[in-house]
Amino acid sequence: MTADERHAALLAAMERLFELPPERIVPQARLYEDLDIDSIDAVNLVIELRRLSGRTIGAERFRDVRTVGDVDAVLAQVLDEGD
Amino acid sequence: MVAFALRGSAALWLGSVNLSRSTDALFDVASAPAGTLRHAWRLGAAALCFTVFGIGTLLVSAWLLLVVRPLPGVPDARKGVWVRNWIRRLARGFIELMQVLGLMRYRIENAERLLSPGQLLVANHPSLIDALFIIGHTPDICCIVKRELLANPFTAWLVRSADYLANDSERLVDEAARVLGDGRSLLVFPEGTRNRCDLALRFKRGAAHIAIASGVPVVPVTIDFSPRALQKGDPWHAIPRRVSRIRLIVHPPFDPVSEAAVEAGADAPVTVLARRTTRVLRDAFVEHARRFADPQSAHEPGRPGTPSA
Repeated sequence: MTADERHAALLAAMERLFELPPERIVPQARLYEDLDIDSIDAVNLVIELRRLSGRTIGAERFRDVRTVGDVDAVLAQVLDEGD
Repeated sequence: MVAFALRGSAALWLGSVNLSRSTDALFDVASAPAGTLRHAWRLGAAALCFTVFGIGTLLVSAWLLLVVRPLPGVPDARKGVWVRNWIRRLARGFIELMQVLGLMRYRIENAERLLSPGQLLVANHPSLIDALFIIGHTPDICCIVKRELLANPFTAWLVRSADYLANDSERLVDEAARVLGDGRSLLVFPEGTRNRCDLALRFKRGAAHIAIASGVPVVPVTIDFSPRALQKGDPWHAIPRRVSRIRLIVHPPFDPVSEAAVEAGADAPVTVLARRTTRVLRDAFVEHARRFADPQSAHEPGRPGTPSA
């Protein structure tokens, strides 16, 4: 999965799960403050990312995630480890 | 014996109704210092109320922790029922005391609806004492409390044995569904904290998730508090000039989830369904608050939400 494919997949997942317009899903957007994503949403996002990546991702990896960019970075790491 | 003591104190309260009425009348006749005197009386009454409530809570906690808790041969579930009963009596006692002392007047419309078991009660949150009205009038009710109460050893046993739920638990939604499945009612304030205005409500989505996970319809309880008092950040002694009238209305059960599902589509993810459900719920509360703020429109059934030209 290239970086562009990864971005597109994350964008699509967040659009679908949280009904957000794509122009708001930018790397620096804060999940809670800017995008109104709560803890239950976060759990659902992790489930969706597991499905997308086909990898097991522990919820603890998202503990320090604050922005869309942080989520993307964790996803990139997870995909790297698998290769 | 407990019931006897309660009946005794209820009689005391009823007896003092007349007393407070007559003091009210007394202050009404006095002209210039009337406002000041009445204010002083109510300030004293408020101080008394909070003191009595504090001491009452302390005594009941001591009774539960030192006597009930170590009782051998009584199952924990049974002790839980006792703890919840005591919390209900305390809540009821406190609001009746406030009313008798002339600090506020409250009325619950359709209070009999609170008696059905296993209901998801959803309320707006204008003041510090909102929960007390509902807890005080509902037979076996579960609440959601701050995590701090579980960290404090003094309150932890009470919260645990009452089987109350912690607000930041990852399993809150599942636990709430379990409680409702067991036939106990659950009180949720979707705002999560006290508000400043019922027309600009901000709902979190926990209540919607609980409705989705449990399949239980929502019983909306609207609380109209006028004039406002005991809001977030208000000190206890900030008493409004007029006696607050509090009107609680227990509305018929409705199912915001199916309403939201029609719009969201059958295969919508739960996160989307929760968003739509939250909107349906919130709109119902704002619509009510708008009618309350503008009493004339309350007599126009079927009037759309848009203001008339």
